[in-house]
Amino acid sequence: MEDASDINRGDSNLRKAGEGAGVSEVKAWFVREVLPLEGTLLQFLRKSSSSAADAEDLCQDVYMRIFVSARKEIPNPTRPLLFKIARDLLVDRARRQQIVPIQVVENLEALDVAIDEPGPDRTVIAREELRRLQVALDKLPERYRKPFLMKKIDGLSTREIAVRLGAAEKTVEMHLTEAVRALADVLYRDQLDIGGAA
Amino acid sequence: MSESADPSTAFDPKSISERAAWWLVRQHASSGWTADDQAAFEAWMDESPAHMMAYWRLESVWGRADRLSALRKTSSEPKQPGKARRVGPFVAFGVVGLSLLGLVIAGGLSYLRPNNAVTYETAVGGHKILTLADGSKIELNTNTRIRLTADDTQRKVWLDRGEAYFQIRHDAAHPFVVVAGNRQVIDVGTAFSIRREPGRLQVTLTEGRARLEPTESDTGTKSVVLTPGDVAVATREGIALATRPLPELTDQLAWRRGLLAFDSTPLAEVAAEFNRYNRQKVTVVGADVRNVEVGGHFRATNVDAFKRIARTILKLRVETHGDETVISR
Repeated sequence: MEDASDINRGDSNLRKAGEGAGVSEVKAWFVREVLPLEGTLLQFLRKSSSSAADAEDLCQDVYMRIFVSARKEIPNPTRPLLFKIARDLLVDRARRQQIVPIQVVENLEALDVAIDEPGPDRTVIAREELRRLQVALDKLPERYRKPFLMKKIDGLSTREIAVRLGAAEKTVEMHLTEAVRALADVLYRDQLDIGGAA
Repeated sequence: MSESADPSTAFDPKSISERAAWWLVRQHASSGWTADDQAAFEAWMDESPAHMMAYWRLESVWGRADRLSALRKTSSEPKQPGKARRVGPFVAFGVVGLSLLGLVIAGGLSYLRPNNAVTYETAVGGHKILTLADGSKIELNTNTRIRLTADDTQRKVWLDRGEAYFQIRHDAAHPFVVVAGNRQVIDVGTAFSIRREPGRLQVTLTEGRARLEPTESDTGTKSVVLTPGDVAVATREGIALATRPLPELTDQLAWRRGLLAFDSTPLAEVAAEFNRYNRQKVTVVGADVRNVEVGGHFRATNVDAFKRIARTILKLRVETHGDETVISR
């Protein structure tokens, strides 16, 4: 019972959160349209950033801006807007820093191509994601994978998992959080260095 | 830009992601999700779209893992079309961690007399392991009833309904006989599973040898000797015998671990399997929907996972009223 519809639960939370009915719409759009582009976006941002953490910050900024935009009207198509926002951010930043690294200029030009390029067919994305999720699961350290599979496939409660693994329930919960975060990185960013999740 | 007024720069993405994961897991943890938790969660979500998006991002992965479970088995080797029909997922008992009862039937069987057979049964969703005094074991699956008796010449069990897995300690002087309707299995030191349904009996043998034969009341059919890997399905028309590779047998006996294993199984059969274990009954409506194939491992009691997959992966309509759930297009 506790494992009942994740998605519905999230939606009702959000509606109650007082953001208006639009939030669940934004959510569906974000998961469907934006997240699959995260890897490409980050890759692009990394080329123009001093560090991986910097690229992460930029990615968050892009998300914040496109969120605000989506609250007014869900973008359609999403991809050009997402990359336009990314480019504007980089331009803003370059202007503020009053230095335009050559690399950024090159990337901004390359970006025009990226914007127009049609994304892969959604079914292909879905299949590819599934394959990556499987790969990712296989690569997860045993201590993360086991509780995750017990939870998601066997439908065990965290307490049951704790009993079976002879671990504290808190530890199981912690490992589940690490598992889901590592999987998200693989799925959306193609980052397989899950050791970093430890 | 790090010193800009843009609020998003104030967040450390890493910690937001950790926090989001923590909320996600907390909601699915055993220790209960209280109204206070809900309020705190909503407050956190309200704090920033960055929180929401981080949470949605992880939640989408959490949900997607269901799809993985649905597809997990389907990538396995193609089925062999020449074989007899697919053998339904078997009863098995999840010994691990389930609230299993290991009962030792005290005093041996020898004092039991045919007319005071002892009855053991399980309710829907139940699972019991009986250990007989001779060391033999019987695992009862959901909604199963057996009667046991022994005398100087034989050990005898009637499978009145349901499914059971037998691990029999061989005793040449006292053959072990399992009677199911008008058929019986006589063991010669074996492990096997029997499932009885109206008009259908299925015997899966994992170790040793056993003979499946008609009882005296039915002399119309022949007897069959089973060896490991054999799955015999007896109906009114006769007995169909197929040999299965051992990994597949493990799937069929997944019930012993509290699991149901499916491999390209029509949705209607999947629902029927779940219905054996749960008070909540699922009906699949529409011929095309009933034939949608599903694979993967499920916990036998996790009807919610099944419903969720039907809704979110298969994009079907799932309506629940009380204990009745209808899945349709």
